[in-house]
Amino acid sequence: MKLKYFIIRRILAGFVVVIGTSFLVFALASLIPSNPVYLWAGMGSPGRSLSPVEIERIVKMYHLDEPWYIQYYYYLGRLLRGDLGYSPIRDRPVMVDLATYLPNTIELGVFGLALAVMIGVPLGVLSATKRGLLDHLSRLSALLGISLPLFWIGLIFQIVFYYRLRWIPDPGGRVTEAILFSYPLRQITSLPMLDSLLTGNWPVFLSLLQHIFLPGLCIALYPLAVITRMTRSSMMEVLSQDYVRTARAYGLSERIVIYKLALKNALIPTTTVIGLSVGWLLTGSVVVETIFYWPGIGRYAVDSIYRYDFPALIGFIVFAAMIKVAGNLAADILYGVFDPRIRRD
Amino acid sequence: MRMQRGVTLEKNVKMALSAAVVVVLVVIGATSSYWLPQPAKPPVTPQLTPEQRYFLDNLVKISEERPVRLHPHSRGHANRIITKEIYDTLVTFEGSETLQVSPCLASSWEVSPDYKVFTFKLRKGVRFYPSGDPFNASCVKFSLDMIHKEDKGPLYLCVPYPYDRTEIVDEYTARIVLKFSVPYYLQMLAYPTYGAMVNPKFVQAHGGVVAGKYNEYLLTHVDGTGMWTLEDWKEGDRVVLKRNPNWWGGWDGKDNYPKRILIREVPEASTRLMLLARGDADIANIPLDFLPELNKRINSENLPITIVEKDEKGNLLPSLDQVSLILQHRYPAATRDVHIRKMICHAWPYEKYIKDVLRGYGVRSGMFPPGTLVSRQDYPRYDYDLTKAKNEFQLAAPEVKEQVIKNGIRFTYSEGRAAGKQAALMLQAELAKIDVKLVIEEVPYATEVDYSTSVTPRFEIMSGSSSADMNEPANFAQYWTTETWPPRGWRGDFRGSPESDILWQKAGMETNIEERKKIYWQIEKIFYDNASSVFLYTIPGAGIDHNVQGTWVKGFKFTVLSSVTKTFSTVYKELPSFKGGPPPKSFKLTLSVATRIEDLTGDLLSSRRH
Repeated sequence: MKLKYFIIRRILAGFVVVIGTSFLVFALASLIPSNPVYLWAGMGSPGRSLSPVEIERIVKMYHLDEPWYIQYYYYLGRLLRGDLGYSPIRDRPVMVDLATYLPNTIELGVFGLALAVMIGVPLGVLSATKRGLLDHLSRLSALLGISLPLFWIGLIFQIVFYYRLRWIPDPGGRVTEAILFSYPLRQITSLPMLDSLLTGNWPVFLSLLQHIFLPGLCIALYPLAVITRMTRSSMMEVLSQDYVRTARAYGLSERIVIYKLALKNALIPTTTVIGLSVGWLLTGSVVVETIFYWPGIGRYAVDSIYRYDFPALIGFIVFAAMIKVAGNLAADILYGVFDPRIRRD
Repeated sequence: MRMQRGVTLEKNVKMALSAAVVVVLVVIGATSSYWLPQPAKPPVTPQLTPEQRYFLDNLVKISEERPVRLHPHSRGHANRIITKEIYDTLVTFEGSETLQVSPCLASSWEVSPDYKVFTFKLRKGVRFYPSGDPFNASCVKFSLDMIHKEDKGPLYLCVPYPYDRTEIVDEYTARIVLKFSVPYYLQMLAYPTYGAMVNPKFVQAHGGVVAGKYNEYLLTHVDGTGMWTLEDWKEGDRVVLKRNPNWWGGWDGKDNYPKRILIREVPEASTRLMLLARGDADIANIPLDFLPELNKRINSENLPITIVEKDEKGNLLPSLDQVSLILQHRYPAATRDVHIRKMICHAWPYEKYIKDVLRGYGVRSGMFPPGTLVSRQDYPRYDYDLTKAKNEFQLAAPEVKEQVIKNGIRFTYSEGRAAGKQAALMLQAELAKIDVKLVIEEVPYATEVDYSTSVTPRFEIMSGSSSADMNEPANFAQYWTTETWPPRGWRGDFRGSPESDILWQKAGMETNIEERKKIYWQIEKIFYDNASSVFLYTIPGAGIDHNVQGTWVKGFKFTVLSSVTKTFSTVYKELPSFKGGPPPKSFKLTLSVATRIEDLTGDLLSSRRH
């Protein structure tokens, strides 16, 4: 019951956060000292003629002749009806754009997170239990993962693995076209990797895997570092607890002590960090998708910035806020699920 | 006994002679291939590997731009790259021709002496793909009516709009009637986003024509008569064009043409270069400042890449893309004084900028870029001369001089634009030599656009660029007539005078080319006398979207109208050869890793192959 109220409270709080974010972004956009209507009407550079009809249509559609808070009022009304706005550059709703690009970001994010967890947790456990060189190396790699700029790492990966070693057929993109032409992919869920698994299209699946590996590794580096460090520190804390000492005194094997007793408890804060990483994956996708020309919403956001497509950009930011809030909520719920003490509280 | 010996001797001689003859015959036979004329052997067709076959069948173009609409009338260069291949026009430009149009969907035409009525005989047997509907005169009427009703196409080709109506004379004859004479209307019709012919049935079945809006279905679906048609479009990833099987030109004799064209978006220039060097891309656009370094690498690493900026003689190819400094002519800008403007014109280091900043990739030009009808070597120009610059400053009005001494002159630019920060710093250094202060201001691009359209002057000097759509200077007219001047608010630089307005109109209707040129040169002189802008240089060659290609790409025909004419109508690939030795290590035909995937998955896949 308490968990139910907890979830409801968090959802309401999340709703307030999303609305607040939309307000903040809208207010900031209004501070930009330029009127984008000429760009939206098709003026690529100073000097193009504009159709007065087109300009009037845009001004009416976005209420550009009203103060910014009136414009926000109309925007909020549409937002509450699930409308994230209309892109004047692409001539279609922002939701349609996000639906087009989101599946690719989802796959990249899931792959990156899976890599980060599959490598970070064992590495953190080993680092905590086997002190020495391994511990130093894992801490160093965690530091590098946090410190090195993503765009630099991405370009280095391309030069090394594509240009020099030719271990991958392409420095970016989703799939090798040659494979796709020979083995057309039937769309079921809009998630290409899932569709290829569901339809048993192994060549395309393997090609997709080949292409997702480098950008996935790039985007995984930061959460990998954080997960490693968090697992290491929480593991060390748990291993120093009395009950662990007692279990060892009773003669339980080190393997059981670490993996059956200590790890479960040590993973609780790690789970929170994993939930928080969802937000990072979205942030990181902006850079990674640009470097690896991955057709996801991160690149959509960058493209919108270059085109001064403010409705698309605001829509993306609001959507990102929703994802972040959902990720945090999921982390909190999982925390409660794993730790009965939290549920009781 | 003697007789027996004689008989034996004779026999031996005969045997020896016979053996000798046999030996000689054998030797002759064995060596005959060296001295006997050999019959012609049938040609051996080399068997292509799957990698080679794929390489030849697929042409890959990579670009930083992303198409967002496939509507035939949509603006935007990235969109046009694709739509111009899918949709045909009544007439077109062929090869390097930029004035005379050639037949396309129209097989012939007549033009009335006053250039107001254009009657076209249409090609028969043309069908749209994939619908299969026939192309005829009703399509011409529908297409031109549609673009004017939507009012979203590139109607700035000619302002005011000359189109009045289209009459259907018979099924294969259409007559276009204009409101006033436009001698270059055929050129306008060759412009793909204006003259693209659409299928009325297809449009009406999917939403019809709505005033002021693009037909939404056409934004993502196509039905054209062009050589290529859309196979697949994964937005943000790639566009795949395939051969139009219904194409009216026919594919006979074009076996060496690619079967597919892949257009991929790759934002990073360094990644585009890697793909090209590896042979995984065939055509790319690389920023101009990368080109000098690329040139060195081509020579040192034997890269199989050609830079399409220069002709065979090494001269920069012309273009219609021009970079300038816009000078504000309105109060309270200091540049409202003609002498201040002339000072800036004389202070700009034209050749130094092209040599040091552009590293040679620029051509000095005047008001009409080298690719236009009326460009000439001896156009009126201001030369870099600080003495003259200083003299001009002394001639300026006292209040303006005081204003400049007190506040300086403001140079506004946005990051990433041609003639941006480096231009500002260069001009600042030159003006400092004559004790004139230049204040530099960087703003976002949208702000720059805002400044240029503000009724209240908000800049004094600003970087600018323009790209003509046709090589007919009348296309510029809508930028440089007094009706676009304040109070409507437009740029702020000299927009002409009543005299030049009349000359623009006269030139636009003059049918004699030589007379037309003279009128344009008169206009040029008026703008020169007013020091309207500082014309810096023209971006060379293919510039925008196709300036680097693999040496294995053949058939590309450069024209100043490259961004408007069809790119893939003549382009094909050959297997690469490398001058002076083996291919560079970086180059390797694609598919090797993809082939390994097939090996891994084995026979399970063979049943799925199409």
